[in-house]
Amino acid sequence: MIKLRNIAKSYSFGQTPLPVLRGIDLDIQAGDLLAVMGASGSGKSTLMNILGLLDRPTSGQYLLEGKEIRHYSDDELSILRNQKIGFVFQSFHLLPRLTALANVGYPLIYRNLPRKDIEKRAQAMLEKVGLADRAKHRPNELSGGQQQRVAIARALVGKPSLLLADEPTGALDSRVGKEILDLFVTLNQTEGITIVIITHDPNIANRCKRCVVMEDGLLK
Amino acid sequence: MFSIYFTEAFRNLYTAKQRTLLALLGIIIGIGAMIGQVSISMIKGAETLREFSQMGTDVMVFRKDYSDDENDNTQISLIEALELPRYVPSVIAVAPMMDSQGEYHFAGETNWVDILGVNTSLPAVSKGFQLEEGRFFSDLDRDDNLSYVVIGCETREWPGFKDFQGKLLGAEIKLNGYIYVIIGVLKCTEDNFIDEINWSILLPISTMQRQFQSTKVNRLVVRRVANSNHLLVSAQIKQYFAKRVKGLKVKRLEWIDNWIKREKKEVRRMTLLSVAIGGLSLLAGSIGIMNVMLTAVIERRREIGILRAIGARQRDIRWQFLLEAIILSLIGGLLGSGLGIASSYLIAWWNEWQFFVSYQVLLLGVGVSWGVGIFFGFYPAYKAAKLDPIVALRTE
Ligand SMILES: Nc1ncnc2c1ncn2[C@@H]1O[C@H](COP(=O)(O)OP(=O)(O)OP(=O)(O)O)[C@@H](O)[C@H]1O
Ligand SMILES: [Mg+2]
Repeated sequence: MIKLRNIAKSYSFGQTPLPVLRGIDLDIQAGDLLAVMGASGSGKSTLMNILGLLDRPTSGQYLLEGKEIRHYSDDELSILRNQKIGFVFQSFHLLPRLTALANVGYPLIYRNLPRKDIEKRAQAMLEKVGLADRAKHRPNELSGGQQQRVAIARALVGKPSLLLADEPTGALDSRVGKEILDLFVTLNQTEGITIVIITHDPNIANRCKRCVVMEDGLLK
Repeated sequence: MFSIYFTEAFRNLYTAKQRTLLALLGIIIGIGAMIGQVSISMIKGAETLREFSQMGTDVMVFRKDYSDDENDNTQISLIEALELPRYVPSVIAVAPMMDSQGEYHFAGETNWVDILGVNTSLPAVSKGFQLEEGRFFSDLDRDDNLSYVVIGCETREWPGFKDFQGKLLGAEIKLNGYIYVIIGVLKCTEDNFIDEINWSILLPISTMQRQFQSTKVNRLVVRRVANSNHLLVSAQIKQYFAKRVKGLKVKRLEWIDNWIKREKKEVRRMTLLSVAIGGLSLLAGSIGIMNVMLTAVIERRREIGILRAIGARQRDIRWQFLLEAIILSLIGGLLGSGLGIASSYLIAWWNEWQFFVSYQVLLLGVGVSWGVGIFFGFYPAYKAAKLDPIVALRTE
């Protein structure tokens, strides 16, 4: 589904470019459950942003479902993010003023769906992550684990083919973290969603189908 | 989609209550000042024009045309003048006037004064004509042996009259050697075409002709039917005199129309000026909006990042912020227009001017606030849309 070839990314600090990714080759098959590990600062989040079309590589090839993303415009990348990719962040990144239900439904707003449909699908998604009874709560009325479930529901509501999670359990205690991981594993097994999880936790990596390790901008 | 932006915009504005209120206040005061100024200058302008037309746009002044040599031996005589309404039906009243100067003796004082010969139609042509005390000439006076005078309001303050202890009405005054009896004192008039009555002594025109041994009429003040065409009536009057007196050409003094034209221009100028001055205060309010929106963009960076991650295009973000600015300035514009109109109502009421709301003012209010929202909301919205999603997401 995804082919990365010699992907490089560097940030420029004044005159000198600072390379963060230095030639990544990576293939991700549909239905994969991939863990990305590596030291802090090794470039994991940068890689995820590129995978998630939030950022463009400085050089290299990125084929998403056979198509080179370099040719897409900013608007087209936005639409691809909306339809094919779901993000889960370490710090949840929910919209604080909205209810859980509204948060989950928000990506569908950009698909111009009628409000009724959006609410129905968001409610179904909340049920799937076990939070049906919290639909009307706002993020600050939910625990960390519950917020992360809402975030996962939001990531999945648009039926993406790729779910990207950047340290999804990093802000949770180990018990809740395990619950979240269970959810990912279940989703991967029952729905066949392709999932990439960035983590520092070897226990999590062990439960994934595959694990890659980053070191200084390269995959080992 | 749009309704979502809309409810989102309201929600965001509501959440940032304090800032929203401050921005609203700025725009309310700005638009209020502008609308108030424009409204009051329009009200005032209409008032001035109305006052003037009450005095008489339907009043015309004629006199002999001296620029034409053929005209030299002719003159407007009293009889032709007085018969004018019979031949030109659009003329309601005609007041012939004759002017000269003379010396008066009164209560031991002597002074020069303008003397005006007028007839009993003068009150009929001028709505500004009013008596302070006594009475005006009457047709019944005609065969009297006594000669009467009426004193203008400023003349009343001149030597002799000013400190006169006795009863002014009925007192005798010597004018160019003849004795007259004072029968009335006029109030000051602001009627421009006869305002020299304020500093004159008025005589019946027939008396004046007898005593100055002249039959010449210097001026005709004519009131025409209210809705008649002034050009047509003017032409008819010229024609009338040309027919009655061979070779006589009369000329209309057009300065009243010119004055009105000038006044209208002046009103327009004042209105524009108040738009400009109001616009300055509006500018201050508008910058407030821009400031609020820029602050909102910075404060909501993370939110922008989140929205971009879940699929918002740049234009989605831009619309959302732009809409907020527009809503803000429209609400402010509405309230401000209300405030401005209300304050112009108060000022009009205080000055006893006739109040009205012109649609131009309403259009201006809505249009300007709409424009302000778009113009001053655009830059912040543009900045929000151009934010790098990764940078936006990373802000805490
Ligand atoms: N926008 C940026 N501008 C400049 N440098 C950046 C930027 N984003 C990331 N970097 C640098 O790139 C390197 C990799 O960052 P990245 O966030 O990908 O690391 P990471 O592997 O996710 O680390 P962690 O495990 O701590 O999250 C770091 O040295 C970081 O300073
Ligand atoms: Mg990271």
